[in-house]
Amino acid sequence: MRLLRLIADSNGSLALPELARRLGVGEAMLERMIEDLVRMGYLAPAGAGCEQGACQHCPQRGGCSLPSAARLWTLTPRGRKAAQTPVV
Amino acid sequence: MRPRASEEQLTSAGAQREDAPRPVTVALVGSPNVGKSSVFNPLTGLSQHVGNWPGKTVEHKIGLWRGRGRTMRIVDLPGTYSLTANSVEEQVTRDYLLQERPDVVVVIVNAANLERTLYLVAEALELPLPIVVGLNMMDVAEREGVHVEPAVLEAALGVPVVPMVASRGEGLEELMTAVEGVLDGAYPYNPRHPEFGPDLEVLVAEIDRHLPPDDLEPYPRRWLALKLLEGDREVADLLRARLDSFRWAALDALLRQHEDAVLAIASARYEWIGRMVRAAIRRPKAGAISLTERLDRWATHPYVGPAILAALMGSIFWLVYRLSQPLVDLLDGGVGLAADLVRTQLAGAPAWVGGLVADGILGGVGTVLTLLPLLAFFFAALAFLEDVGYLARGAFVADRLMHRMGLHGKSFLPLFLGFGCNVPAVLGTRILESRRDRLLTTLLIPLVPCAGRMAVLVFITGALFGDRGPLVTLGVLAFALGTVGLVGALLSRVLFPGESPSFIMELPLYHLPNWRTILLHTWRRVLDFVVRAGTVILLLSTAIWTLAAVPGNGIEQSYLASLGRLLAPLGGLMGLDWRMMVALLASVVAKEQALATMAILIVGTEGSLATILPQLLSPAAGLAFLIVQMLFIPCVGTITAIVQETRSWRWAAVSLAYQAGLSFGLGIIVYQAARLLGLGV
Repeated sequence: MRLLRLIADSNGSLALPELARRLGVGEAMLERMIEDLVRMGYLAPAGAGCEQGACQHCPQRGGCSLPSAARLWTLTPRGRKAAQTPVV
Repeated sequence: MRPRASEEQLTSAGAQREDAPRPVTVALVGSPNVGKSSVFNPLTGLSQHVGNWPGKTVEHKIGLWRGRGRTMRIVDLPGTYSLTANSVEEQVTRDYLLQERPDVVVVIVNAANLERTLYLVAEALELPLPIVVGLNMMDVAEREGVHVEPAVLEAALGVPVVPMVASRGEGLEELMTAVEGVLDGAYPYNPRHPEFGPDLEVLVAEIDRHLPPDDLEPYPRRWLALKLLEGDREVADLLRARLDSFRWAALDALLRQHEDAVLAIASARYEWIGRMVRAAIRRPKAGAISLTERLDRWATHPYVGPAILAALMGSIFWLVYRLSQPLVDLLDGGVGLAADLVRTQLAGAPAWVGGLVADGILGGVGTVLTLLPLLAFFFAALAFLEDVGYLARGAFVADRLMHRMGLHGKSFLPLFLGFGCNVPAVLGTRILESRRDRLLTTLLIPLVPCAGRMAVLVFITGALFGDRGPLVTLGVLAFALGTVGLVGALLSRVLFPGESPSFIMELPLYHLPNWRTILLHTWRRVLDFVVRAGTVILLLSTAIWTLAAVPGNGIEQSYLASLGRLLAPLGGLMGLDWRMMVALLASVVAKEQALATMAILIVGTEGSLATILPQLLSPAAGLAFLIVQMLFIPCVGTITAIVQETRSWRWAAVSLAYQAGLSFGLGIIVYQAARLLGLGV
């Protein structure tokens, strides 16, 4: 899938609008694709903020600005492998 | 698979009489929030029955539609994004469609969000059922400047497409006319499915050969093969039960060999959606593109973005400097006057009392408190950037730069927090998954100039460099940030070799600043600073004054001077005397303490730190001091946080050692280089 290859080959992070432009699709469709790829195990939410359990007991949790910063996704090992090889 | 829902179960809903012939059944499917209920309710009126699906907590709604001499049973199926059994709603919907085989399936899609809702149509078209598409929310699409052409979409899909605004009852009659047209064969029904390509078709045929040869009703063989390739567990369980162990093992091995075929299937469907959307939608004109999108074209541009970030940060530092400097000078003068007043008032008291209050407390804590306006402006500026949504853009741009240096992409978030304070930044490394990334980021955070160091930087550049202060401030900052990048690149290659993954990042929308939030955020940080000044800095200032006052033969003979002179040889390489070295050491308690200590040790009975400092430090020595101070060992709070997060003293010791070496090394180089440039006088 081109999306996985674009992430794997990217030298740095990609913003949703830019990725949508490169794929030639709308952002809504890209979000849907990301949801599907997360469900299928090729992408994983990388958790920009405190939605992860690790922050549960953080003393700074109340005033932390990380949760509102951004939502991130990254390739899983399965996603990295699929990006490098033909899928069928 | 679940037992087939019986006709009795459906008729028991009370929607039809027992002796009546089975009416035509129309199933309504659609993603959540596409307005399916707005179609179902007016069509069925009072004839609805609401219950639960057998054995499920999912709502089950059936009603009758009567019109033009016909009666149809309308079944409102649970909202679902796809027909893969990912959720109980999807399971119920697809089981009903396959097992009950309604006469017509009406798929409701959102005209304003066609790209997201057409996936369900793509899957529905793979079923052997007649489809009618209800193109709902046409009004919302128009409002958003999305022009959908139903006739073009109909031609592209090959099935009837009915434009609707169901919330206003528009298009309902036309929808039922289309349903009748399909039932009566009046519509040239010619659905165009997603095309999977020859490789995938060969694979589907191979899977089909592994399926049981007998009838698999109600499941279409091709649909079963596709679902197996999509990794559908329910379908896999069904076939495992129908095949002997040898044949199942062969099929399972084939599926494992092609476990990524699901990507090809999804890709084909998305390409199909893309074709449909390109055909049927006229995109908004340039003027209708959102403000966020227009701003982000520049803010996240690979080359313009970093320039904007640098310009924005530079402007903030310059503005903070310009706005706060007069207030800092005013407060500095005020502290000097207050100290004079205290000395006068305490003239009758023992000399040490006046010295402690005027020089120790007012000189130390008072000098630190003069930084209050500067920090308030700085915190407010950071809160403003965060509140309007720029923080994520700045972080995105910084991430790209860092990635090029081999740093971990996600580390930028805690590093960015470090500008406020290094302690929460170290705690923020919790968001990183691997230990390698956490350690690398933890070792870099203390190099990020926190607000305390920024305040010292601005104060000293203001005192030493006058009008060129802002420029020197920016230069020192750029030097410090460049060092963060270089050290990061070095550590990531030498100590922590490994790959830095890339991310997809969703950037929040820009919005107008909420001044209350910004003020509240600034107030909290300022309060935190004042509390620290009133506690930690007060205690340490008292201790330093005491050590500088005993045994009582003047400061040059004091215990503190003896201690400080141990550092004098090192200080001499940077043009710094023992007092400046003690100030550096004291900053380990809190970075602002450097100023408090200087005020205690340097300022005598006249003037203020800002006026005396130029007499003590040459520009070269001032630059060296600033470089060391920016990169010096972490404060106690940060060291504690490092120990807490790494659960080891070892990494805290590594941080102390390398930062001490790095800061003094660079300080010496900068001093010697500046002397060669004639700044040593």
